[in-house]
Amino acid sequence: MRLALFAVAVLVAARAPQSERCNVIATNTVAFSAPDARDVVTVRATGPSCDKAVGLYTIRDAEGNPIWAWAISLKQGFGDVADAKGAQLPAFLSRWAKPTISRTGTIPDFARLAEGQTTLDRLTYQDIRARNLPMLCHFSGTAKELCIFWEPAAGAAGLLLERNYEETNR
Amino acid sequence: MRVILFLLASLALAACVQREGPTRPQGAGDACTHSATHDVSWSNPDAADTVTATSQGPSCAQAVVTFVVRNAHGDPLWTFASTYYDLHTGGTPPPGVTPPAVSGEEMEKFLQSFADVTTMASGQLPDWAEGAPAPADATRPFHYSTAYTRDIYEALRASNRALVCYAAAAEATQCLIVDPASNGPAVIVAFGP
Repeated sequence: MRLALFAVAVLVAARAPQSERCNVIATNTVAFSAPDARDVVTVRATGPSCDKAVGLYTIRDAEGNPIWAWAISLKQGFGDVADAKGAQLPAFLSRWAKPTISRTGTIPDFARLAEGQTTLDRLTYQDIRARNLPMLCHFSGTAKELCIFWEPAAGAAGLLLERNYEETNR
Repeated sequence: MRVILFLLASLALAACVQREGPTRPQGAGDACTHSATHDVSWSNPDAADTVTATSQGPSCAQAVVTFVVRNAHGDPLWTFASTYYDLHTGGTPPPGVTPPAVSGEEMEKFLQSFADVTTMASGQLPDWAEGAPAPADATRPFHYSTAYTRDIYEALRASNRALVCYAAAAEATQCLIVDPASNGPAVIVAFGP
């Protein structure tokens, strides 16, 4: 009996740290905060099972300072990208970790935005567009992407807009 | 001998359990991995939701903090992520300035407080007077904003539904409601000085 109890204790101890049973990561290096920067994109899916996982998107500079953090329920944002065991997750996260880098001069004029596409006011948006700053866009849902800009004067990133995109763009 | 074999078999079984589902070990970038949970009655009065606040980062001063509300089945209802610096101090450190060190204990205390959300009923929110640009409370020095129209905001307020309110930045609070139109969570109001 004592032996059985001990074996159960071993099992429980082994399971204890597994409250987050799904924990899958993909990383990628991009040049966003400067032309020669080695910023690290990390996407991480965690949850009690992979079909209930939350995706955390972070970008850090080479010193580990956070530049951007964003989270979403994978199911709500992307549909059935993962079953409970997450067999498809590594491939999905690997794609998610590859944002596009461009310049803010390519974004549409403020007048062409749909309501709610940006939280910036017209003046700020147009100023960021005119200054042609570095811009990074990552998936934020099925056929949707979120774009952030880099403000060199502040040494910080900010949310620019969210927009639809064609899957074939990538 | 039987004891050793039995324990080895138990450990092997435990190892199988640990391998279930794809996992990765913690790396050097996870030196500040902490979490706090708090149960809250929000989306279902008969089954508590769980708020989990988690930190990750190469140091706690550089941590990213995640806020997740899950229902009793473990389905995520709401997610939010920001930097510890923005939540604790506000904004980003000035260029060239290294933020002060944060200990693991300080982070755990912060996460406990972050996960301990405020609960209230939508009827307790300030009213949105006709003709006013936004809801307002003359007794509190806060600016309120909402993505809802006045009619919908007032209808949600009158429905007196459960809200959870959390700190979305050092000086900004967001209150969540389960919107009856979508049956999903939404920010009913955000406020701050």
